[in-house]
Amino acid sequence: MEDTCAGSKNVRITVHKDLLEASKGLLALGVIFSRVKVSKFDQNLWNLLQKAGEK
Amino acid sequence: MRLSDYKGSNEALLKRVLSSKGLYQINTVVDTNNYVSIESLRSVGSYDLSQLAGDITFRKGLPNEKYTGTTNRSLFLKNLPVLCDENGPFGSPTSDSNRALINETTTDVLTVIYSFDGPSFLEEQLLKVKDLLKTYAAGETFSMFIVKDKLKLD
Repeated sequence: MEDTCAGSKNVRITVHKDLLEASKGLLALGVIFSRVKVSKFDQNLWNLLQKAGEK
Repeated sequence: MRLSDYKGSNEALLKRVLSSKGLYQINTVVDTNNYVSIESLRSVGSYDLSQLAGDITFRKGLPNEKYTGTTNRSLFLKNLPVLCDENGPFGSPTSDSNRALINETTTDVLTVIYSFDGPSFLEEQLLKVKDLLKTYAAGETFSMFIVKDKLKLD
């Protein structure tokens, strides 16, 4: 038993059967491929992160 | 090697929050990871696809496998779940290697939310990553999957 997905640039991700079996069905990966423009800092995002940390 | 070096990155992040040590500010993609990790209580990793080669496997670390983590400590990977490309391990739910770190020159990103308690809420968490990357990193051209159910999301 193994599971595979293919995203951008045809990169395939496969979860090895040993891990899936050992986890007794509890292992799952959420996978997202994206194209981005990375910035050093965004004040609004930082505020959001700080707020999450205060919960 | 310290046992505390092997806790999940989500646990390490929460520990910082709870001990009032403050959060790291890195860049808008890593900050997004950290936000979703705190909200979901799951480890989240983002990787620069231009630094990876070939297909990716999530498997058990082999004896003698190790890499230098983002904290500049050596992480011994034997029996840890690790993400590997054709050049070997580059990421894990514990700590990522320096090889595929996101920086301001990164354009193509792979983000992984690691769940060890089933796929519950993964779809919502992926949508949150998508929304934040759109807003704070001009994100586009998304493809999302949950690797377990062979489920491709729109």
